[in-house]
Amino acid sequence: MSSKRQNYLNTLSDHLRKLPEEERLDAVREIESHIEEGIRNGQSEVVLLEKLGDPRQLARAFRSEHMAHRSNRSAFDLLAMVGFYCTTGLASIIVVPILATIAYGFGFSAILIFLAGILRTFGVSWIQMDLGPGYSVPTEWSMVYALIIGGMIGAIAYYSRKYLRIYLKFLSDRYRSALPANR
Amino acid sequence: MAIYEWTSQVRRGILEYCILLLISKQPRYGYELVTLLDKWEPLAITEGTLYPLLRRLLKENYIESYWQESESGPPRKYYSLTVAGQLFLETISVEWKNLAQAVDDIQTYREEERT
Repeated sequence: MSSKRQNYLNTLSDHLRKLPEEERLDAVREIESHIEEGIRNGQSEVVLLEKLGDPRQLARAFRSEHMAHRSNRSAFDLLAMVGFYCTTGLASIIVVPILATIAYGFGFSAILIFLAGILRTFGVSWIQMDLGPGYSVPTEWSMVYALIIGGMIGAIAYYSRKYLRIYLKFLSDRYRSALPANR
Repeated sequence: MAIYEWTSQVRRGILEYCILLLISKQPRYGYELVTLLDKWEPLAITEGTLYPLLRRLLKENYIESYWQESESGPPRKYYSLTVAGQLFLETISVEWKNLAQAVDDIQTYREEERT
C-alpha cells in the first residue's frame, strides 16, 4: 500500500476516534476497500483520494451526517431552542434555586431542631422554645415539640427535594427533546 | 439562493430515495453505488457524501450490511434493505409520486392563469 493511501486512512481513523471502536474500524475498512476497488478498475490513487475528499472532512461527515441532514431546518431548530430557554429555561432560574434552598435549608434546620430538642431535654437552658408570647414549652416536652416542628420542616424539605428531582428530570427531558438531533 | 445550494438541498432527499431503490433490487457495495449513480449525471454523488449517508441509513435501520470476500478484488461491504427499509421505500415511492404530481399540477395551473 502506498504511503499516501496509508496516510489518508490513518488521518481518517484518527478523526473518527469519537465513534465506537467497531464502527471506526468498519468505516476505515470500507474506505480502504473502496480505494482498492477503484485501483482495480483502473482509476489512479490520486484521483480516488481526491474524490473521497479531505479525510478530516470525511470523518466529520461520518460523525455528523445526522445533523447535516437536517441543516435546512436549522432556523427552526434555533427557534425551538430559543423557545425552550425562554419558557422552561427561564422558569428554572426561579424554580431550581428556590426548591434547592428550601430542600437543603429546611433539611438542615430540621436536624438543628432535633438536636435542640435533645439538648434542651437534658438541661441546656439557653435554648428557648416558645408556643406563644410568654408561654415557654416545659423542659420535659422539649423532645415532643422538637419532633413535631422538626418533622414538619423536615417534611417540607423532603418534598422540596423530591419535586426538585422531578423538575430536574423534566428539564433534562425537555432539553433533550429540544435538541435538533433528537427531533 | 444560489442554484448550487438549491440543487444540493433538493438532491439530498432524492439521492436517499435512489440509493434505497438501487439497493432494493439486489445487495450492492459502496463503489458499485458510486459507479451506478455516475450514469445519471444529475445524481452523481461524491464518495464523501455516499458513505456517511449509508451509515445514517444503517443507523436508522433501513438498510443492513455484511462483508463478503470477492474473487476479483478486496472484501466488499454489501448493503441490503431491511423490512423497515422496504416499508420506508414504499412510503417514499408514494410520496414521490404525489410530490411530482403536485409540482406538475402547479406548473400547468400557472400556465392556465397566464393565458
